[in-house]
Amino acid sequence: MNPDSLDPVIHQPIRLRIMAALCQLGAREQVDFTFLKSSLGLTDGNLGAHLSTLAEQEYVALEKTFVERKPKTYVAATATGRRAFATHVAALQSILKPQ
Amino acid sequence: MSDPITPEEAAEALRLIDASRAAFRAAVGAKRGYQHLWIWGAVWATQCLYIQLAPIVHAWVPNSLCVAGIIGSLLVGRNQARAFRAPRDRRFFAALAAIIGFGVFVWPFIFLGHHPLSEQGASQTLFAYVSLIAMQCYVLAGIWFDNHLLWVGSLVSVLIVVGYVFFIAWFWWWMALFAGGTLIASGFYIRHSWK
Repeated sequence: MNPDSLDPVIHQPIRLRIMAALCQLGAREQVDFTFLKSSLGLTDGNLGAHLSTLAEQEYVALEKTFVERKPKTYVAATATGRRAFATHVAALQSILKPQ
Repeated sequence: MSDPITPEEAAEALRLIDASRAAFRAAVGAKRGYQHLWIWGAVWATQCLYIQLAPIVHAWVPNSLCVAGIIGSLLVGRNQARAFRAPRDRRFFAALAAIIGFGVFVWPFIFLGHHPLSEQGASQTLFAYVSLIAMQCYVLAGIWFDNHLLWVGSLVSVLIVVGYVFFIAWFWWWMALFAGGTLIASGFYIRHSWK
């Protein structure tokens, strides 16, 4: 794996943590924004801003809906995002391997 | 990336990923479906112990336990759905309906000439039959969504058949310990495996 494969969008520490968390879920699963925020110890604004950046790259999908008349946002890693994250992790690991 | 990162930075990023995965898995672990296994393991074990130990068995007691299990499962499912959700898979629910529909309403009439739910004389047969249908649902859910449920459904199915065929005299003890107990133990395993 070439270190040039590192993805600058994912490499930002908070986005790295978000992608690491989301890629733990099943391919068809979505997680509640509030649950993700509390799991990662982030604020609403911080998580929202980084999710927007990831969504622009189509690494995550956001779905706004209502549950029991309350607005809810569900987040999921897309197939593109999962591939990008896996490539990024492999590139990080390749840097640590002796040449 | 334009600026190459150092091995130390790469190592730090990988540590961050591991820590984030661990923290998220621990949070997710508290919301996973193992509570359903605990609920139904406890329901089965209690039903079987009641039938084994009660001087007079009243049908409303095991039936009420079953209703309590359904209510408990619905409450747990509702709580989980607040944190996670997956798109409803109509094919899965259709397959589930086919298993339950044929198992309860079609095959018994055709092959046994009577409905097992109205059979009063062989409560072990009825319990084993209905339990096996429930485990078929677990197997289906395991094939569809999560390997854990496939193994749990297969294992408990084998245990039910073994108990029914070889240990019918101790059937209720067997079912309480090996069917109900295995569901509860599987719940602990799934919970642990998500940490």
